[in-house]
Amino acid sequence: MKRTHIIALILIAIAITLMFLSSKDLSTFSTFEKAELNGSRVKIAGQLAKNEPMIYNPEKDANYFSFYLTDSNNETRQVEVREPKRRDFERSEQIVVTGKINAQGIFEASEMLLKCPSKYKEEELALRKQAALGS
Amino acid sequence: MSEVTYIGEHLWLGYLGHFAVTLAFVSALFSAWSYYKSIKTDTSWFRLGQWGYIVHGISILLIIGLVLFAMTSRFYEYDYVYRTVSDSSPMRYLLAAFWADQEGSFLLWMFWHVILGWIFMTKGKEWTAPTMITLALIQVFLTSMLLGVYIPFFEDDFKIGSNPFILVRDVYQAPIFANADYLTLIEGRGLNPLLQNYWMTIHPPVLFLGFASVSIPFCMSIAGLSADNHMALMKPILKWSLFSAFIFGLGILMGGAWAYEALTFGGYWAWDPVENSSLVPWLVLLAGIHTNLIARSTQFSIKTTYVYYMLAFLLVLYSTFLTRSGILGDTSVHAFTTMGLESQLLLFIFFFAGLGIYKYVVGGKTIPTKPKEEHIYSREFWMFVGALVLFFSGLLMTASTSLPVYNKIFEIWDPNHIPIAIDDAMHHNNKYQLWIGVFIGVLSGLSIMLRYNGANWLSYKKKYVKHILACIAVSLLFTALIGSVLRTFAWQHHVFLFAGLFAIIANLNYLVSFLKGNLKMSGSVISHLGFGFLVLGIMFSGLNNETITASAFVQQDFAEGDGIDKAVVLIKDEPYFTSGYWINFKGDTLVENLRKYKLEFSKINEQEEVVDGFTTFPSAIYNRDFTKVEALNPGTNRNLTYDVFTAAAPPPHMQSIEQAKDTEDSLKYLSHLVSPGTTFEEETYIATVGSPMFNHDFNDSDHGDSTKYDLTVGIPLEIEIKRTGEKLNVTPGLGLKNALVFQFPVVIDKLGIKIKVPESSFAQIFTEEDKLQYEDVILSRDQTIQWNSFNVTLSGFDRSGNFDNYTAQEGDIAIAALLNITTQGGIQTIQKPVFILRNAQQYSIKDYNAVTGLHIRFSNIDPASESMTFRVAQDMRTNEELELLIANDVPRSDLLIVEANIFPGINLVWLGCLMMLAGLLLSFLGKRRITT
Repeated sequence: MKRTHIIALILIAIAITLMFLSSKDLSTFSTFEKAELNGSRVKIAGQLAKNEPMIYNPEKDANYFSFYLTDSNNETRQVEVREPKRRDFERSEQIVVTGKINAQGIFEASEMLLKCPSKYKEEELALRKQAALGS
Repeated sequence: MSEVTYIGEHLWLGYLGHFAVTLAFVSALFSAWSYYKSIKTDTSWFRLGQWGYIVHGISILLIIGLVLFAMTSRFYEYDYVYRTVSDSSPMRYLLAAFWADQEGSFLLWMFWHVILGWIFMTKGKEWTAPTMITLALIQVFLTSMLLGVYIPFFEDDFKIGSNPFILVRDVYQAPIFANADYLTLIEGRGLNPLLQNYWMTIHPPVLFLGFASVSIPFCMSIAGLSADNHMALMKPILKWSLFSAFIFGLGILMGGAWAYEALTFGGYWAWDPVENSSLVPWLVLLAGIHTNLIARSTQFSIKTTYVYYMLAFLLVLYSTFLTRSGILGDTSVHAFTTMGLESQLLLFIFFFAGLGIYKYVVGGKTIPTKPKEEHIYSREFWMFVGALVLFFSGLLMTASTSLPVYNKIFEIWDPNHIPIAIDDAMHHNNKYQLWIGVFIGVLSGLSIMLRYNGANWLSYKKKYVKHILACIAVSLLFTALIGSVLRTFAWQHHVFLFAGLFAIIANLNYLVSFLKGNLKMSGSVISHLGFGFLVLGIMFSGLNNETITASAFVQQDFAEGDGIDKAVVLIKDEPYFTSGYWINFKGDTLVENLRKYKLEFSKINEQEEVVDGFTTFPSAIYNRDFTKVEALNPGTNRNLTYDVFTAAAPPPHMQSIEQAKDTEDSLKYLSHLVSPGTTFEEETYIATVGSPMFNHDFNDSDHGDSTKYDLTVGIPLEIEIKRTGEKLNVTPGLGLKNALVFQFPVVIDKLGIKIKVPESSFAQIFTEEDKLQYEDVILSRDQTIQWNSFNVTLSGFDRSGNFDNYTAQEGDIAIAALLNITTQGGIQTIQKPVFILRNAQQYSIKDYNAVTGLHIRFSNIDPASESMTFRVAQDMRTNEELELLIANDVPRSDLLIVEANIFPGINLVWLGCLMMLAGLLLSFLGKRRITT
């Protein structure tokens, strides 16, 4: 066996080990119910509960934003993040938050990912301004 | 709808375009076939192959020309034009708009294949035909992406390609297409404002030239595997690969620079799947270049070279699949629309993967294997390991980037499969790629001073060990020095730092001691030096960056995280002190759809003296109709050793009309009844009410030019802020236009209040016609009488016929009376009521003056007595109390949410990358000199 082959095999072995090690970095999506039960840090995907209030008052605290999220079990809970409210937050199709539930039952997210609809999908044909009114 | 004969369409362009697409497809196929025949049967086919590719190239150029022509002419009947251009699109972004969408970017890719193919046709020598077969086949697949043919497949239509000449009325189902002249009614959507910048003009062509150039080593590898003189190929293939690695690397670097300049995340690399998927083929291409160099010098690693080159191309295809199939939707910040060509892209990958594997299996046998093994003290051995590490890096990245693909595959088996995702891609990749960086740094230092084949190792050994030990010692010294400045928080960081420094020092040493500064030979040294600097830059900017606007948590008991709040709120003209800087938000300027915020920074020392001052301009880009902020761009202050990076956002209610409305709806207005001349006091201010002002010119950009209003009224207020004693003059009011009432509210940010005049105030000031009590007033010329508190004089007549609200008809007799009116307070006005005799009927046009509140009609002329009868009424402004609506706790509009970061050493990142590329370019140019 050639030395290069040995090194290649070693690297492959390292690769497999790393893949196993890196499984820690992976997570599946959880729900509020489970998060409350085991109290650990989880990832929850859900939709913005549009009828519940969103709190963001930059004059008071620019780094506090709160909203309500409905998870895949249809449970709605308050979520807090320590960051300014993001642009176009209301338009997000899906919100993925990572964090845990605190003593008050509020989900404290340290990370948030928004999935926004692609640019023009639902947009109607753009009409020439005003001209459409006359026709 | 199909019976409608549409007006104004330019269908000839579409017909020509469809023809050109078909011709491009057929001629590419013909070219590939002819090249193939020229090898297998008769060399006379070669000319046909060449001509086929020339015709193919011309067709591609024609397609591009037609699309660009349709775009400049704004032929909105074509969907592609409709999607990318609007009436207001500036033409300087024409090219950006052209390749912003899928079809255009495919065309750009094909364009480069055409140009590279044309060059190869003249320079390829004996490799021309076997290489061009594959290139022409690639073009067949790419052109098929534009065919736009639907083939019935069971119940669905199977779509082959997406044609850039498809008509907008074939794409959308809308009632508007019942109109024959629908084109006069529609306007294109135009380029996303986010993409309207110079990066979008220069980045895609470079990156796509990079993509396209990777095809050449692939095609040449296929050609090589079909022949048996492999060593003869190693020189020309290296030349093309070096060019490709240079351009491709430049494209990726430009992407990073764009991200750094335009994106608010504050960085040049985010391990985003889209970024990774273009970095991976580049790394594999670099691995190929390394084994190619080995092969050229020692005849080892020919097979491996083919594998890397072929993989690099296949990974470009895979990257295309990932970014264009929409599969990354959940994990990437880059928004992509799907073309519905997923299966076609997969077929594309599988075809060429199959071709590569087949050729490798069949042709691989002809590659000579050397009986001897690489010497462990030879350069090639360690270069080979280095190449393996590069490949390995790409493998790791692909493994994690492909998670959405695994999820998709699992979903086919198990519809209940719960998708898995990387928790923190940034952290994950940094953790593993750090070790790749360590290996590359160390290996590049160790191997550069070794010789091919381990020539004269025994006599060289001593010198080598001496140099290496010296380099290690110097590197350790620097690691200790720099490590004390860096905010490292893991031992791995020290190892990484050492690897970077060792790469720099070993390569510098080689350049000085061995090459004696001979730049011609130093391509690889410069690249590896660059890598070392890149490592330093990554460490400084990544570890020592500092958020100067950061503050510790106010709130206890918050989830783990970095424990700091990063943003602060700045109020206009109120300087804010943080981390040694005074930051002052000085206001904003609006140019076209870009609002620039001006942030003035002054750095002070402990004696509170200003030691440094600079200004940054973060900005917000609005959408086309100014209803919302489409993007926020950071502003950066560049310095040699550090950058100050500022991201700013206006408060939510200033970001879109929707949010502004929500905020307005949430305000609670309290009614204040006030009389002119009186004063009222609130907790934070004292307000003095003035008399209503009529026809006040509201300088209100939201409502356009207020002079266009039929009637306006403003209530002047002088507001004294109790806390500061400052006095402000504001005028909230109302405007009337075509029976619609418009509000001109006033927001006072310093008090957090908003003042409106309710619409009902109009009725209070202006009495409706049916409630007016008219009285007859009879006047003769130059006579003055007293009516109520007014002196009214009939000073003359106007027979010109040019009166407001009057259109002359034949036979009309129209006279206006000129009435001079003086109020008790001495205000003089002239009112002009009009008397009309039309078809023996009497009419009158009322004249109304808001200041006097007088309504006057000219009702009769008595020719005998020369006396005129007027009907006069006055607005019933008996109720002196006016209503004001005042809301408290109104969100301020003069504030900005700001995050400012200092990135030290960011220029080392750029320097390192540029040196890596310069090394590649130097090698490319140098090697070319040798071959010619």
